[in-house]
Amino acid sequence: MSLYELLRGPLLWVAFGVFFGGMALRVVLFFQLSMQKDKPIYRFFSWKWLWLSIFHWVIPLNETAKKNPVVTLVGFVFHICLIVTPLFLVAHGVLWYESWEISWWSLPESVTDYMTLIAIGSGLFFGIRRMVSPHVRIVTTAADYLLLVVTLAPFVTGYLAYHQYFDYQTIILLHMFFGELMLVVIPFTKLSHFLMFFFSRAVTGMEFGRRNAPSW
Amino acid sequence: MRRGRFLVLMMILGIATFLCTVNLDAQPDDILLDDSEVFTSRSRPAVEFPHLRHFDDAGIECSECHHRFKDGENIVDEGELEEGSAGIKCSSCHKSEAGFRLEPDLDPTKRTLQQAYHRMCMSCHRQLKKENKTAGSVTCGGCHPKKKADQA
Repeated sequence: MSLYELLRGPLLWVAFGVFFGGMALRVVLFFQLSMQKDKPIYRFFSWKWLWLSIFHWVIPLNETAKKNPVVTLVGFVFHICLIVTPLFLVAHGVLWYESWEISWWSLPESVTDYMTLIAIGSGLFFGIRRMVSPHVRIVTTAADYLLLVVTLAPFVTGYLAYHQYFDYQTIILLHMFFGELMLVVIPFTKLSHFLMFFFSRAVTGMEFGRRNAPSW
Repeated sequence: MRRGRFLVLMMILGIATFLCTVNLDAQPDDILLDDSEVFTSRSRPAVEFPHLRHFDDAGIECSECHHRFKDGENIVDEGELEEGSAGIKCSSCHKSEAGFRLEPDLDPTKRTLQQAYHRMCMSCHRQLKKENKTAGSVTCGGCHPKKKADQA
């Protein structure tokens, strides 16, 4: 079996399995732990504070956004590019259709090209911020830099592949590998915040909400 | 006398060349899949499809790719597959939207032109690769090479 088929077939299924299975487990463990350690939250469960909290953080409507407008802006741009680019990329759409005959709309390639550069650029911004900003530096470990590399690697290789810089056939295999690596790494690291963010925001929102103090 | 022989030789060569050209016309070698009427906002270079290689080297039957579906069955007449004949090109039926019928009693197309091309090329290439046989490309840049377009 060629490396391409290995990465497109069995290894992709392993990556999907670890990603979805791992995240499902994270959610189960979250509820298990909260039922043991944070019983009161279930007594004060409130949809109102849950949604209000998530809403104020998904939209930059909070004190942190006001205090750090630049970091907030770059953070939002970074996350939007990170999620939207791979999902609405023409080339990925072609592969979704080829594999499962499903299709949805896609963005023009010139747009996703810039979004890839923005994702890489804003990712580097956060890497440099970890190095130079004292209050971020003290909470930074080597793993944080490594996770940033894992996050940006699919974008860097994707950019190189689209423009066919260097040896295209090698780059495209690296791109597939790094994409799968990121999926595998997500459930075991703080990259899991893509989902766990909603749970922790909900809990914090309810916790402060029962004291009638908004958490944003 | 020598001059006569030379003329006869030239005539034979001329006829042979003509026949070869006629043959090439009937079976085009490389086809540039341009389809500018469907792909109006193209961001990748058009594919140069090595048509001859597919049946000369790979030995693929015409009807494995060329099709006219009626009630799910391919009823294409291989004898009618000549350059310029009606419905010979993929884009004769596969347009920017699916659902076109070349003739009223034929099945409507299920795929757009882009989907049809990708499916026809990639599914076969992948299958051959899985069987460890020689196959064409399966990656984007394999069929849409940027450098070639820049040079052109």
